[in-house]
Amino acid sequence: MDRQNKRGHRVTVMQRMLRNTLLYNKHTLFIATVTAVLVIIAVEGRLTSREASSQEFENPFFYIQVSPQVRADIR
Amino acid sequence: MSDSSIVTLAARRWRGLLMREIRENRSLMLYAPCLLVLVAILLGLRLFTLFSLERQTAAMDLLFNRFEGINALELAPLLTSAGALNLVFIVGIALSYLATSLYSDRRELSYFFWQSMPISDRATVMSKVATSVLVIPAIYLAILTLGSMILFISAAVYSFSLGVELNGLVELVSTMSIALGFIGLSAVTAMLWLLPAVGWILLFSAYATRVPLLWAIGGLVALSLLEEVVLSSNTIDTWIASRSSPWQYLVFSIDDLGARLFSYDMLFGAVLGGILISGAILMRRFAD
Repeated sequence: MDRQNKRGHRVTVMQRMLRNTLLYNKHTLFIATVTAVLVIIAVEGRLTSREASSQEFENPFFYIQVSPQVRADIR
Repeated sequence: MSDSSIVTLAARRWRGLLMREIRENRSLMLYAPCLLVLVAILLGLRLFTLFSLERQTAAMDLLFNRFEGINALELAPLLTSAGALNLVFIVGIALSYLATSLYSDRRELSYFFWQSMPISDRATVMSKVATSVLVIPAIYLAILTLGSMILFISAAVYSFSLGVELNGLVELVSTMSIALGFIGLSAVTAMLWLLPAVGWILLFSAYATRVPLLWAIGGLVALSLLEEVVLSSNTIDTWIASRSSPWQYLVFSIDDLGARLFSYDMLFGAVLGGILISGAILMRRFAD
């Protein structure tokens, strides 16, 4: 059943439920946000079989070849 | 109120919010980049003076003549890679700024003043996101460009005094300009790629009562270790590692920029960042 808050706006059941749970205080909000993000990361990782790519140091964009003459000039 | 006046009002509000961030964080956004660029230039000059005059002349000849006739677009990625350290500085400055942005509002009690203004929490927090993603890279790039110009002109004058001909000057200027543009694009792309980190740090900035950056980093490490100990899995580590390749942060061509900005990984990161930023926005309704 909808009720009215102090400003006269309708407060839905969903809004009241959120205020009494996730938005009850900053600690519940913080835990809910962090939990939601971690769950999404875990589920997405399992669904897409995510793999680490930080070891990919090979440059996929260009390669460098220094000519012998330039190398000699530098030395 | 007409549409154009609504747009003008919104633009003025956003300009005021962004100017406020620059004014209140001058030391981090203006003075720190100037100092970093100056130190980098002086370090380079100091290393250069260690060489003999013959080697210095050879190096200047290499710099100003070997690039003659070379396509600047082909050579610019090399200079962009050499300037990748600037990307580290930009990201460091942005993350330091974000860690103190919402925290200092609460600590200095200016939070109550801004709550009394006709500016929503969403606009306030999004202005901090926009500052870290766009304004900080833009300011740093402007300072880097100015420093590069001064260094380049000094190098050209010194080379001329050594009797070195400046045949590849135009190509070198073009290459430098394109490389600076790529560094700017890389900075913005990197900050968009790091939106989950932006949201994570903003959330801790809104929540922590002390040293928010330490809590943000320590919290992430603790959660990762807890997952490995309790669940015997490393999902968090794998996810972070999948977004940590150096080539994901550098832009070498405009051709694939659209594909990168709308790739699955970028959009997924934006969704996660959006959830964390929304948490930071909602956190502002709870006064300490």
